[in-house]
Amino acid sequence: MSDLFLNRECSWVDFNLRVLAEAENSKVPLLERLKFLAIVSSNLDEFFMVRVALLKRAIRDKALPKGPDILSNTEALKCVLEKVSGLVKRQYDCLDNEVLPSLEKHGLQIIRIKDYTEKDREFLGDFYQNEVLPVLTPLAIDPGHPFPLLASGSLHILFKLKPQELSESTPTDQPGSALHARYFRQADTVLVQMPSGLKRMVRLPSGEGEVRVALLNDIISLFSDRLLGGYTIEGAYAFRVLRDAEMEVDDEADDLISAVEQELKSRRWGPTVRLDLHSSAPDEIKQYLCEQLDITQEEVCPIPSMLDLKSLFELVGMLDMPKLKDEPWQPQQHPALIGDPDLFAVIREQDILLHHPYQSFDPVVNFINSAADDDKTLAIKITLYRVAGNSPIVRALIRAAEKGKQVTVLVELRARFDEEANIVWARRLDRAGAHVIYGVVGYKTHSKVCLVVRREEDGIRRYVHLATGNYNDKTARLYTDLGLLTARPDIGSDVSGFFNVITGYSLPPQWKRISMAPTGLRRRIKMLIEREIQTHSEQTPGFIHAKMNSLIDPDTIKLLYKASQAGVKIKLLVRGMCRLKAGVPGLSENISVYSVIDRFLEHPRIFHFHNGGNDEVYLASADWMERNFDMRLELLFPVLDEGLVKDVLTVLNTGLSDTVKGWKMLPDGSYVRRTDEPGDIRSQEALYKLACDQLKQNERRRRGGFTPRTNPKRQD
Amino acid sequence: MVTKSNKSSRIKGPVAVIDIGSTSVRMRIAEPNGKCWNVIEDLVQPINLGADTFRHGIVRSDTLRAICGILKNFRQVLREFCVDATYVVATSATREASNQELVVDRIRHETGFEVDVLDSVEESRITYHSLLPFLTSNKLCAKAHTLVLDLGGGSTETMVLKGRNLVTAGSRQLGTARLSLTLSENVCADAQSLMDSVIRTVVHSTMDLYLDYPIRSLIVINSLLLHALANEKGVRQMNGGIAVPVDAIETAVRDASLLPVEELTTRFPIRTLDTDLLLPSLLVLQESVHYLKVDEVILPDIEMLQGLLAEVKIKSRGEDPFLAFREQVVRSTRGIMDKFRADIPHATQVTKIALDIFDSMKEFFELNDTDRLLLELAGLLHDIGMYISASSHHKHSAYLIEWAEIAGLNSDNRKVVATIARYHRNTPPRAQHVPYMHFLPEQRVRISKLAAILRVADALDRSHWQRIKTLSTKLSERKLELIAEADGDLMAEQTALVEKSDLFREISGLDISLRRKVQ
Repeated sequence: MSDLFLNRECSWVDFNLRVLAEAENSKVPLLERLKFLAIVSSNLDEFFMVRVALLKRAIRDKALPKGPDILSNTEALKCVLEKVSGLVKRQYDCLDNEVLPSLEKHGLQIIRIKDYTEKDREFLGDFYQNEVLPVLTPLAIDPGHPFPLLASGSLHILFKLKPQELSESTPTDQPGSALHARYFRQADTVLVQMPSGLKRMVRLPSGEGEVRVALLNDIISLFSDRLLGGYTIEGAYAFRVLRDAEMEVDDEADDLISAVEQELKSRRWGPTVRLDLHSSAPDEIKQYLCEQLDITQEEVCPIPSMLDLKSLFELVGMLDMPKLKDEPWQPQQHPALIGDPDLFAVIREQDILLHHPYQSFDPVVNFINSAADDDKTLAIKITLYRVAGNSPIVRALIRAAEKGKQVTVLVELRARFDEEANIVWARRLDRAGAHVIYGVVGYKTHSKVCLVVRREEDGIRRYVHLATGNYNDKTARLYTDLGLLTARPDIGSDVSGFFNVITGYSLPPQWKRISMAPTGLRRRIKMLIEREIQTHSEQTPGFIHAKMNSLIDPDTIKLLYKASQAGVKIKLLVRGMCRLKAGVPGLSENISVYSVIDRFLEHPRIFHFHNGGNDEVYLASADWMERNFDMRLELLFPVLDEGLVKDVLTVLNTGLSDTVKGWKMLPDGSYVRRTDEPGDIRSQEALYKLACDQLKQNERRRRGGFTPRTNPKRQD
Repeated sequence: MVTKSNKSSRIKGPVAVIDIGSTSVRMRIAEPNGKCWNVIEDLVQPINLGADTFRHGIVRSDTLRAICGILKNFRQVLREFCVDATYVVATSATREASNQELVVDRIRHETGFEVDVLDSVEESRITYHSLLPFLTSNKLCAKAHTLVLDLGGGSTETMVLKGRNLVTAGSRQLGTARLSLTLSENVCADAQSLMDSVIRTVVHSTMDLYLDYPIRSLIVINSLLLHALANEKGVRQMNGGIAVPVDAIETAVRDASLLPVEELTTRFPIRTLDTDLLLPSLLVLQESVHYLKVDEVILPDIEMLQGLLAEVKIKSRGEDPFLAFREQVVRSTRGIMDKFRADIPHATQVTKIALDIFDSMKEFFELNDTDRLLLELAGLLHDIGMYISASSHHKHSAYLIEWAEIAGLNSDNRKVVATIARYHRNTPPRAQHVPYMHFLPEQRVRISKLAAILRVADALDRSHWQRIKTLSTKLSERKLELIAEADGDLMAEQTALVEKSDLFREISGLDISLRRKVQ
């Protein structure tokens, strides 16, 4: 029974192996490879702080595995740690043996201590004295000062000291003075946290066309005698801890804002789940840290070179080397929205499908801006899950509220790792007079929807934007997502009902078009799959094509197996975790699972059901996961316009046939690239070109409207 | 009462109707679009009002606070749409609460909404309004009798229709929330059989009333059943509703009684908080179908809110919805006349004459169209007390009218009609007549005026031979002259007029006379 499913955590590591493969891919520009390496680290950190922490907690509490699983929690953890250790090894192989040496050929170098030139030392000495030393806080550890709690994720340096007699000549008025020295008298260990205000990457003076970079932790180690004057330093060891970050906000708390703030403060201090330590660190240091951090030696991740590869992002941002980056793909305008027409008039005429980041996110911002400035607008309602700092959408909402429009904003405070930004916006909106709702008790609001209610000559009309991605103009340039602008009354009334539900004004109505989690989405998906089984026949073979980020929900997977066994052909494009086993004889031979990893993060959820020839196509904010079905407020909505159905299917089918950046799952759950398959389709590139072509065609057509009239006499 | 932000009688912007029921508060915002309404927003929030009233007899303060909270939220939505007019009503659970007035007052104080507590008769009038479009669009057989059960949480409004016309209407204390409470309070070994017997009793006692009518079809108005049964096997789609065959009901009842509560929402497309109501509702349906021996039940997709919107439209024209319902009220009154074997030619004649006199005296007496309809009904029913005994039959008439089920006639109006009929003969109103003194002074005057007209009209058919064919009137400063075209002798009428015009003369200060029209 339980071997019907792949392990969720292992599947997650597999996904990151696919991301890593892009870093290893020599066809990818070097700086992009560097970025993929950083992404892997960033993903891995979150994975440890959330999923591994959860597993460890389950083991501690002797809880049974959640969901059907062949592995016990302990076995799962073991499997995950093994896989991760392989992944980290490959990641550093790639960095140290491929990417960095190649970058060196292009004049880009990360210089470590042993390779500093005299000039470097001189430069860095000044830099240290002026910028670094003033913000360093050494913490001595002695019997009176036990090992402190260390902030999760930040880099620390442990200095091992050899106590020695003070020399009277040491000056007393600066760090490293006798005053300091007296403080450290009995200590043999000092901890220094890397200052959070400084960049990890420090650019060294270098010649033309050359970029040389030093690491901040190296600089701190190098000049440690200035900090710890009067002592002999036996060794300096950089390390990093990750702590359990799983948030458990008390939903019953009266004031959700302060509850999240509280939780944020405590988050950095959960139990340690991982220690990153350079592999050359001596055993006694490793043992010492393990004891102090209350972890086992197995939880230590030995790092062969630089720690915390997330800071490679800094490097990518620092360099202006276009030839080492992806050729930029400028977001294109939507053909129907050229020349800034009255957006509402356009939407009234036709549904508009936006495909980001191939198409610009501006129309979405415009949509809210126009509503804010429009006299006919009565109300604007929106769910904000992950808002970019200084978001133009929030500014538009504030303006609308100040102009006396009824503005309702649901700010989801429990979007993991984004709470701090969210709280600021929530307060600002509140002050502007908007009706701000801090989430829905018991559920995380994950739907992305905006409603504009206008009073027009012929009555009330609703305009809706429904999307698969958040209202975040920054991520809209990095994540692929679909958004639908529509004035269809049935969808408008459903969305209005949805807002009445989340504002606590009403129970869910009978939906006309949409489905909502947690009340009906699961049932709808179940019904759609079951219907596909029922309508399947030799004459009209059924099929399901679906694209999502994760496929986890056991009931849905079982139903997909059943559909496969009934003969329904199923193609799934699952970017990340997938617990379904594809192509297993007798179980899922009609199911193929693909995954695309390319420059943009694949994010839309598209579901296509053949339905005996009456094809139905849906978009959604939800993956097929228990938490999306049962623990979140999500929306599923149909694409009704025939033309747009075609467009959406192009997106889905292009992704399914990606042989360049596509992967295919084998029956054992592992993934292989599809480069052996015929065809040479890179879906993201193809879709970007499509967006360009659509715009060009439209421009040509528009230009075609102005054919100059030739002299009639010459028409012989 | 319709509270309006601007006084213009035509509705331009959106209007809202709110229904405070026994298990939920609902609001619908709609805007007029020609003859129909475009629904803009539908909101529903659950409350425990029924549980309070049916168990404790009062609305408890927690519940009242919850209702006010919901209504305040609704206000926010009304602001969003700049709603012009709002009409708020409450039904049986509020009506039956002993602290009804306090509830209405608190709601007004906290939310600013004026709540109309509907009489059950008004409820069925509203239901009928909602049902009409469904009856029309589905061309239900014009000749056959149909029983309509508007199955609510606290009460069931019943109507017998012949084609599109209302034959009779009533209200029963048969409610799904009530039944579900009965069940939860009697946790005994055999809950099922308890429920069966309770439901059988209450359904049979309701149906027995309509034994006289050859009922061929059954319409049940209940949104839970409509949604729960929509996907069942053999269900026939209708225009704005469904028809469910008996077997589908049997299957649904079986599943609903066997499945654990938490699986009901998977088996039926219903909300979790409706699960308690599902089985009682299905059982009522099953029992009704068995009793009437029909092969299917029709579930139209209509709600009280639709009818309320129709009322708002009527009110916005400055009309009394009761008057707009005149045809059905009169038809239903004629049903009562049949029932009590009234002398129909006499009653019709008296009514006709009374209305003629009314029309000439309307301005003099400062009466309105509603008064005219009340007089019409009193005229039709004034003698039905003869069914019990000729002696003191005016008192029997009054009693029968007060308790008769006349569609669209609420209890206040029924009392007025009963009192008018009470004074059609014998002693005129006196200060020692307690029921009469229960009316407010201005109502007493109105009743006396109408009774005065009725007494005169009754005198003019003293012989019960309908001798007067046409009647014209001439009102001068001192006198009302009645000029009749008649067959035969008017002696009896002339004599009766002298005797029965006492009240008229007293109230109007006018003399009254009857003469034959000069040929």
